[in-house]
Amino acid sequence: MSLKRKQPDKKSPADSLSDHEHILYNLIRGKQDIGIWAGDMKREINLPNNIFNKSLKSLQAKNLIKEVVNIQNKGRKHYMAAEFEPSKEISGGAWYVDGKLDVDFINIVRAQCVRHIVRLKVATLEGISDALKRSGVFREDLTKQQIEEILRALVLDGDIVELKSNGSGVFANVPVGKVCYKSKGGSVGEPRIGAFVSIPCGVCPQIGLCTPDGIISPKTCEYYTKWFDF
Amino acid sequence: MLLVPQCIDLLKGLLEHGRLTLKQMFDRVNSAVREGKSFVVNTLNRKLVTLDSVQETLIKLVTARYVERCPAPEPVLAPPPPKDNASTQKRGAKTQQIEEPKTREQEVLEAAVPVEAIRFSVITNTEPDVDGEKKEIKSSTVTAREKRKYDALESDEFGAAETVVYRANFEEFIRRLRHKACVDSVRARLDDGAATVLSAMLDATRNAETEVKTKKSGPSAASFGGGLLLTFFWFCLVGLLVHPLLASPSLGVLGSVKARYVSLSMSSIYEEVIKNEAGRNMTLEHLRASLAELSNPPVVKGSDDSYSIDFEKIIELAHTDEVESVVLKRYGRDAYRIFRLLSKEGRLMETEKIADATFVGKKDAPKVLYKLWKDDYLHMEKLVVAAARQMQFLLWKVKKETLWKHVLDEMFHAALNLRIRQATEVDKEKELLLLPAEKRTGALHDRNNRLRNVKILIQSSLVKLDDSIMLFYDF
Repeated sequence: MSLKRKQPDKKSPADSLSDHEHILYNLIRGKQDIGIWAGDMKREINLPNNIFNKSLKSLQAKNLIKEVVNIQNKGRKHYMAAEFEPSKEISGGAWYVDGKLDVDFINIVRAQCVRHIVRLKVATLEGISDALKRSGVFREDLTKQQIEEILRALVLDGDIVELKSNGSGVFANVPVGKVCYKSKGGSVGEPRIGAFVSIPCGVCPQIGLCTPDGIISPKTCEYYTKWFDF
Repeated sequence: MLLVPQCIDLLKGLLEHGRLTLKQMFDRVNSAVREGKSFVVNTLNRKLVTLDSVQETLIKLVTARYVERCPAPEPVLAPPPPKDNASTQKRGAKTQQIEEPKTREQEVLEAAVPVEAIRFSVITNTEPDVDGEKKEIKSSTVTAREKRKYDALESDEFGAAETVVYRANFEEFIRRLRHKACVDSVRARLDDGAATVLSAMLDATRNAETEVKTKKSGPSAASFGGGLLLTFFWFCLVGLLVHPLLASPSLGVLGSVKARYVSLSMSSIYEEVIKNEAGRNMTLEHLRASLAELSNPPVVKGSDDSYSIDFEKIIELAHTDEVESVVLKRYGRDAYRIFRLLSKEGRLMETEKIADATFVGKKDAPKVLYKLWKDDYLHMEKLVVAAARQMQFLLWKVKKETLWKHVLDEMFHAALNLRIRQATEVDKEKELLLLPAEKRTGALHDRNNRLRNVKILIQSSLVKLDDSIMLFYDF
């Protein structure tokens, strides 16, 4: 939850609002960091369309409200009081920017995490977090939760492995039982190719529809023809 | 090692014919020699095979438990106990849950299996030229007591040496192949050092796998999938027989294919490790490091200088690796990450939580999940919450038991497809194949080469696929 409330100015623009604007502003502000969809607003306050639109524009012009992207429905106009930051449900979370997954940023964080794990050989979450802080690569420090999320995804991708310290060897500096991360070495991200996927049927998404004499059949299968193109 | 080609010849005969007497084996080997089809002739250029030599080979195979005596044709079965309702009711509810009554078929099959000493013994005619009567039991495990027991049995249950039939012991093959698959899996997952340690532990504990009852018996596995497993065994037995274990005096007693834990101390593991060529230069420190590697995930469990192999864990990891590689190649990296998450968690997870944990876009995650669910790789449940407004959540899970069966079905389907495609390719070139070899020149020569390569590719893929099928079906 990124709930940041600014201190209101002494002469707030909210003081100079018309009645309609006031009703609208109170409705939007009441929704806090969740905000509200324009359609829902119309239904709740029941103002004529032209007055509604005019009031909305006026509130935006006075920087009292802002339009935000709702991750659940990007096409809908969603509004929120200017003093709030969109909640995780609306923005998609820390890894989203304007309703889109910030893939570039995520990839940079991933690469930095892997770099430090390789350098440290075996690293704990705290160790990686400290190394990232010291490196100064990021303008704002990442929270431990954010780093942990990235580490878990790296484990799922098979780029690193998660293990528990046994207190000896490479784990000598880590308390016994503490969760550590280790680089997977040469085969980063590339799992073992199984026997089944080495043949066309293993990777075929239509195998369920394939029959000996059907439209999809091994006798006429194009994937097999390509496979035999030595 | 000199006997290896003869062992292959003998086993080939047993696999082809199902069961043979010593006399039949002798006749078969000699007729193969006459026709020039024998492995012995091909490899050692020998022309004569004596009865003694066949007997010696058979003893070797029986001692290694690759061959066994066939079960009794008409086993004597104790009459079923009378139904005692009162005693049944007295049993606790727990006992009833645990004990599954055996079917009559299971009882018959169990009764038909000869006692250990007889199952792995060979009757030889030591003086066949004199009267053909004097028989001798040759088995590494027969004690004087067992021999007396055997003599008693021999008089009624088993006939003369000529009527005793032998067959390949699929149980032993499956057990050894399971061990081999475990070592291969660990090698792929960790490194050669860990694989050497595991292999040494398997060698040391082989004798201790003593559970006779197996979930799937050899013969039933052989009949499954038609000739598929038979072909596979033929390829495998060459590999297994060349293994020095055949000549090892410490060959294991009959063990359960599903046996799980046998403990070993660090020093006994080390003794076994340095016996192998691969582990000869391994230090105790290296062994310790390898054992630590093997405990994460715990394929080897260790406590108080006592280490045991968790076969089920190794096989489970191998299953997971195989299925994950299918998901990656068929559905892509995002699906792979999602599948790994659900497989690891082993519980129902909601779409948005999955998207967050896997860094898959919130719009894309449902599409990937739906695709995996549609192809039966995931299980899905709908959850409807009736709050201020009704909301529907989709929950997803990897159901391993059903998924493994589904993947196995797909593998059998793929094996059939490979065979069908091979037949189609051969059929397309049937005119070319009718031509004499010297007339296949130019473009015909290229077509001939292509067909040969296609056949090699399909055959080698079938062997590899059989490996994976065994992993899911037998292990």
